[in-house]
Amino acid sequence: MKKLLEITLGILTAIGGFVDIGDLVANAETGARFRMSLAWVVVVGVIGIVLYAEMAGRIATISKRPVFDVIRERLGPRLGLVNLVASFFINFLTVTAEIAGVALVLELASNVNYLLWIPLVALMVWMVIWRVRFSAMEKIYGFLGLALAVAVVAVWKSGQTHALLVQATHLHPPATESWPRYFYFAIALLGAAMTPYEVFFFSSGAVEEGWTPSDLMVNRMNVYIGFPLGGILSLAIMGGAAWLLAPRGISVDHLSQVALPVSHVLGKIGLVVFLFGMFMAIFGAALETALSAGYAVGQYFGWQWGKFVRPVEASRFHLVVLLTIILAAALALTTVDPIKVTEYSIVLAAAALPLTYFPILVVANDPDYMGDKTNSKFSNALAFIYLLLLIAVSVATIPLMIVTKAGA
Amino acid sequence: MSNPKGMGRPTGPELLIPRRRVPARVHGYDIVVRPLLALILAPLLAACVGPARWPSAYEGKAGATADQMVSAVETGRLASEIAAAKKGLAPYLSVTIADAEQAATSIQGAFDSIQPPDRHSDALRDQLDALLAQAVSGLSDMRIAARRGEFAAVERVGRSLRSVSEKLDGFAQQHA
Amino acid sequence: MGEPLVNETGGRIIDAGTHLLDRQISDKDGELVGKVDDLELTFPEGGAPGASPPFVSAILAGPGALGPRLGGGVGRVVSGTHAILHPSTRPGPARIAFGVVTKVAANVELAVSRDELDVVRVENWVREHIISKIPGAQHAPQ
Repeated sequence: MKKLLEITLGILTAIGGFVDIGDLVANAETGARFRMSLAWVVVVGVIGIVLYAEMAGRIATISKRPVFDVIRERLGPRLGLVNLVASFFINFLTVTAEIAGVALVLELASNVNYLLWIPLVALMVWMVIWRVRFSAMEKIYGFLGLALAVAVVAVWKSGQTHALLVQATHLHPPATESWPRYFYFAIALLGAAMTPYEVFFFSSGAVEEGWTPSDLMVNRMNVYIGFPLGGILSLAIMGGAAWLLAPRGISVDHLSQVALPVSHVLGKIGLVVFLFGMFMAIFGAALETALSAGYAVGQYFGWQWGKFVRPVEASRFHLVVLLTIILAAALALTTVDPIKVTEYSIVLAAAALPLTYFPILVVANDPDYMGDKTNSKFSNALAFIYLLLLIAVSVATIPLMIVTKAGA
Repeated sequence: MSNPKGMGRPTGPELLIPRRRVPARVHGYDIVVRPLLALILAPLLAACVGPARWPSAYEGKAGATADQMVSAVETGRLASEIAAAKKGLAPYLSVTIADAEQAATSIQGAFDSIQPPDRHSDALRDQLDALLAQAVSGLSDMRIAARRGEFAAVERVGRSLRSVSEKLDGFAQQHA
Repeated sequence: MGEPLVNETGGRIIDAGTHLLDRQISDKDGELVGKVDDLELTFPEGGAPGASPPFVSAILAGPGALGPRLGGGVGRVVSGTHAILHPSTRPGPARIAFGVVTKVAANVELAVSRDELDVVRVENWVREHIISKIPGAQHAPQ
């Protein structure tokens, strides 16, 4: 019974924790422009993250080493450093987007300009990382982020579900859009669903929480059930934009527009719940990305890292996390458009996916690290296909970005 | 057995232990800096708004501008409808309308800064400018009313913006 | 993987490239020390022909060791950082004599505590001057 409770909590946490500002922005923008014709990308992205998160978690549980540790061992210090620099830079943009995102949600609730909220948000993010226990932190924000499920209710109540599902089978851009933009947004959606920080955080979290092989089953349940349900949340955001915003010619460039469908269908209470869910999901993501900055750097250089030791015992790790938060907040305060930062962070994340995923696939097959828990032939085949896909995505990103003027 | 790469020490006689093959030396600059520069510069290039030298390009830009303005106006209108149905919260609606106004102002500014290539384009410009100005002023009025909590006024302005929205849409279709 | 290779004195033969380099080093309490950034080889009798083969005499860790291994401009920046942060004028890389290595498995395990090593210099500095000044730094692990 206790196990069942634990699994349920894990699943609920995974659902809420799946969505961050990248997913909110990407799904809303795509729904508004392309209706449901890109829904299939969310499905592809969810399968991909399920595959690789399970591997990363399994690697961390069996070998007790999280991802960046393994990347350096496998790729060597030079390629490992390239990987670190690229991942850190993209992660940094993501931290900026998440902190700005939390500030935007507070603006929506208070009508006080988001810039004024940024310092407070940064401080809160840091304080939670500094003092709140890892497992509590993850569970609370993930679980409360589940409030976003109200978006699913809004779609269902709008009576548009059937129409939206039919739309989702039209795998081509609508007449108003071009194929290059179609694929550019596909890349953005993929990057939003398969964010690398999710993998760093997940595998480091496995070590933080001291998972043992007997926890593997719980890990698998969380990932196999939780993430796809999180994908449904993303699709609900896309659906809301598709049925309400697209016919009116509204394209999404502010976070405020993302909540319009919920407000329109469910009124004040729905809106409050949705804003609350946005706050929790994005705040949780801010915690994860800030910690991931520390994990990546600390694990590359072999420093003591983690919240499982006293802060004084992982000084350089905490310094990196602190500096990342401060610099990200500083970047957000330059009044750079948070939506644009979000867009760039997810597209660049998509382009950089092979850097993270390739070493994971290699290590997951290595009996030196995994003992007898290496990949099955099926998951290997699937993972390899994904890797080819991700490389194709990586190659196509910059040309598409230039041709479509970054999706303008 | 060869000198293991990356050991950082010159070796005379060979080492006891064969080392696995290491990839050939790659320069950090090539792998890190160049792609990062490309990644950073590409969006900057993409964001440049160039002058429209040909009348047809100008017409295309005018059409695209009208399209973008429709998005801003309709956002404002949708917010006003939600206000009318009492389904929104005041701070949320205020911010949504203010965001739409901000978008509208920058769309107008971007279009006005483009040099029309010929006299015929001037006429197009005047025609669109009139619509853009109506849209921006309508959204401003809406924002002011929303901030004051006067949601009846918000509804009224929202209804009045309907014709602007339709004209902008018509313009966009015509000149796409 | 098969049986581990064993040499004439009964010691295990390992590939320094795959099993030593870039491995995590942990101390006698299981705490993390750093990575095996490089290895110091000693050539008995100066490498003269007929002398015994070279052996690994120490592990080198930290930016002073990683810099030369990275090579190029990046490596020089890393080495330069080490030189700036180190109190002595021409510092060599932080050195852990191979004699204190007890085990080479998933991690390279040492017989000493990390406080006795040179490589934790920067960590100690950050702790004393920055982290310990923040309230709650001594708090129990979370």
